[in-house]
Amino acid sequence: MSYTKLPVLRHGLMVRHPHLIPDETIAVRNSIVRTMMKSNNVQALVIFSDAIHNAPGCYLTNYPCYGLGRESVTVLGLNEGPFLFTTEPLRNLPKVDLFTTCPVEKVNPASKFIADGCAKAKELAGEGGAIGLVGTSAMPVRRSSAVKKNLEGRSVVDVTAEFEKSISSKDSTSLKCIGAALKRARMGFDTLREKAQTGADVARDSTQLAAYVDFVLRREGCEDTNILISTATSPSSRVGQRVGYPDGSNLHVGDIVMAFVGAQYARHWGVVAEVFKLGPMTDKEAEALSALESLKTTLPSKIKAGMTLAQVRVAAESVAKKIGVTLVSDVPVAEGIGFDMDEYPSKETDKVEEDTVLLVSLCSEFGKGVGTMMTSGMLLCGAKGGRWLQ
Amino acid sequence: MGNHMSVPEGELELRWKRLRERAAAGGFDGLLVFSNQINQTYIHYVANYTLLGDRSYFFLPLAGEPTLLIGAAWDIQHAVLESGLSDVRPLTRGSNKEIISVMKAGTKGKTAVAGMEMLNEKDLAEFKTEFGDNFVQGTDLLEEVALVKTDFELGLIRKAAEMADAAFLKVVETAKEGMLDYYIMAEIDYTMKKMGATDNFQMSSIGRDSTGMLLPYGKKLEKGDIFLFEMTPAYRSVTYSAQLCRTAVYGELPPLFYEKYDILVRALEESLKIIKPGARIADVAKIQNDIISKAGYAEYCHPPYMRSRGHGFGLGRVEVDDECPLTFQKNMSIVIHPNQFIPETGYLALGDHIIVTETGFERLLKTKPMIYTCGGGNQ
Repeated sequence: MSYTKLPVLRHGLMVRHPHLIPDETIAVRNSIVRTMMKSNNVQALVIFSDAIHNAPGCYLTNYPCYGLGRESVTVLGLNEGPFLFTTEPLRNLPKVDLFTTCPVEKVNPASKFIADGCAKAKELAGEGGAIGLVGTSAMPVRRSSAVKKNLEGRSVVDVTAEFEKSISSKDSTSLKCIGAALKRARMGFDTLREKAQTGADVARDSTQLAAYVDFVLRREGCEDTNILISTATSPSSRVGQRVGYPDGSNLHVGDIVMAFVGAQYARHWGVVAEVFKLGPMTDKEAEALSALESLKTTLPSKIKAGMTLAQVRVAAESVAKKIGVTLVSDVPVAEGIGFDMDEYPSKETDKVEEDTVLLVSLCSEFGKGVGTMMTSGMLLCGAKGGRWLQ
Repeated sequence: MGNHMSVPEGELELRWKRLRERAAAGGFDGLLVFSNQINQTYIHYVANYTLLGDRSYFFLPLAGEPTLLIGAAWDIQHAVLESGLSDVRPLTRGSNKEIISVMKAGTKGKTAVAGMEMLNEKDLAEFKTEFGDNFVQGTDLLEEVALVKTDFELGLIRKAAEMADAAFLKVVETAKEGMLDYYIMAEIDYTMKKMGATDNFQMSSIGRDSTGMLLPYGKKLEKGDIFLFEMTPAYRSVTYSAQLCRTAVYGELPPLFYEKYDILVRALEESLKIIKPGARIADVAKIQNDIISKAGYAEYCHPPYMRSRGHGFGLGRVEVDDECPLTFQKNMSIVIHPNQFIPETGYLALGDHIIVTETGFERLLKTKPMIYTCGGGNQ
């Protein structure tokens, strides 16, 4: 979860997007998960989601777990469901039903969402049926203890890893949504760069600039944005430069601007993260950026489904070395992205599945006079290699 | 050293002093604070660090320098600048070895752990293995200290209130027929963020016969639509939020709406009158419920028709309801809102943010408690 800054409430346009996310897709996803349940001999699933790990529940219900109800339990039976239990205030439910694909179960008080969800799972699993859990490792203890208490005496199996793999292989619906989000992120980044380079009033400092780009993207229907900017004025401050939370720094001609623009649209994220200069680049700066772009061109053929994230990093470092570039060690080269930033694969040991989308960040120090350069892309991984999403 | 988000000299030390006093009084040797993205306010309060990445720890020994550990190694330069702390270290991904080592060096006794309930099972088990019964839940300790704001914190909240007023007036001035609800929300956010807002808990409703406020869904503004807003800009941390609850109309409303809204205005004004240090918070809720009940709406003075009669924000949060056991203290920051569903009008929004002073309260919002008309005439 390298770049996430979770707001207290995502409050952009929140609709169902039926043209992008048809009900049939959700039905197919539920069917895929049911197949996984059968192979694990599980009769019901209890799936925990929160505002950080929105993916599991959203995959099956289209419910965004980052509005007012910041936690949810989705319950799926072999023949029934999904049933959605959230912390939404009761008075919201009529509106929530407008943007999910399954009705929201009434839970009152909202703090009972885990108890009610577990009760439903027990009912679906029958007397001796096993119940599968998803999301347990990330669950805060105050919630996991409630799950344990409510499922006491039942046979329980953690199927988080297998569930995450289903989500990691993006279906055509998710790819369309990611494409729509990426298009907006690109638009946001281009706006940011154009306003900064032309010295527009909205770009007088990093906070103003981020506010403007956020405004533009919200009018494009984004549910949320994540805009990180850092500016480096002197050559010495460019070394070690990383994107960061906008801090109101003024922008000057000659600055190197490093920006990360995340746009969330139709429940999915698109990201564009690059550097640019206010004013013409020196030959050395242009050469450094060109080296990174060259690495970006070569990289997709080296990243294949079945690799772990650690192997992806090794592959990127190997290609980089051949062209005389050293990638910084503190910025993750690749992490899963889609419903969430840094979703599966996120750990070094996690495998890249076929049709996984990775956020690839290529960041390198080029020393005095040039400083840090960065480029990024969203890579769709296949069995024989990847391709950059546009 | 510092950046635009840093705090004045002595501010963090003042908070640490209060925390150390409370920790010592509770028999603790140190305080561990944990934050993740779900609750970033803990770490911001003790370290003035805007959390990026998955998690952060802060360890405060009873004596000596504290240590900040962050999950996003690449953010360390920013963390040093923003926090001004001399000891900031990266955490190894998926591991707690660095913080465990810091704690072992800094304490031999009990550690109060703020945010313990947010740890996952694996991490909690790791700490319990190392520290056993000396690893003790301490969230309340942090919450209690943070309930009373410092002068610097109050300044941030006042600034947030300016943002809320400005954003509301911007909507009232610029709303046009056919405007989409999410365009209106974008205007609100932009107005606030230009002024420095770092977050915004924003709910709204545009239309008629609303039962509450939620998120924009693509509604076009029409004549006669009622705007309900709960705008809550945060300045640097959600703890430094100020909330504005207001109602506006695009077009005209029948007189009945104004009559019913006056019930809410009376409930607000009468309940505010009792606020001063030592007064019972529950009495604010009781006064509001009493006025609204006497107007004939007793059955709507409970969920789902309303939630509470006010609350704090972020760290040091209190709920203004008739069961609240607390009394007001000087320098508390609270929104008081008699937001209410009324069958004849639908949901109506009204609320003001206040700071408790030595003798009463300071009203932070400058916009008047009334139904505003988009396009003018709001005297």
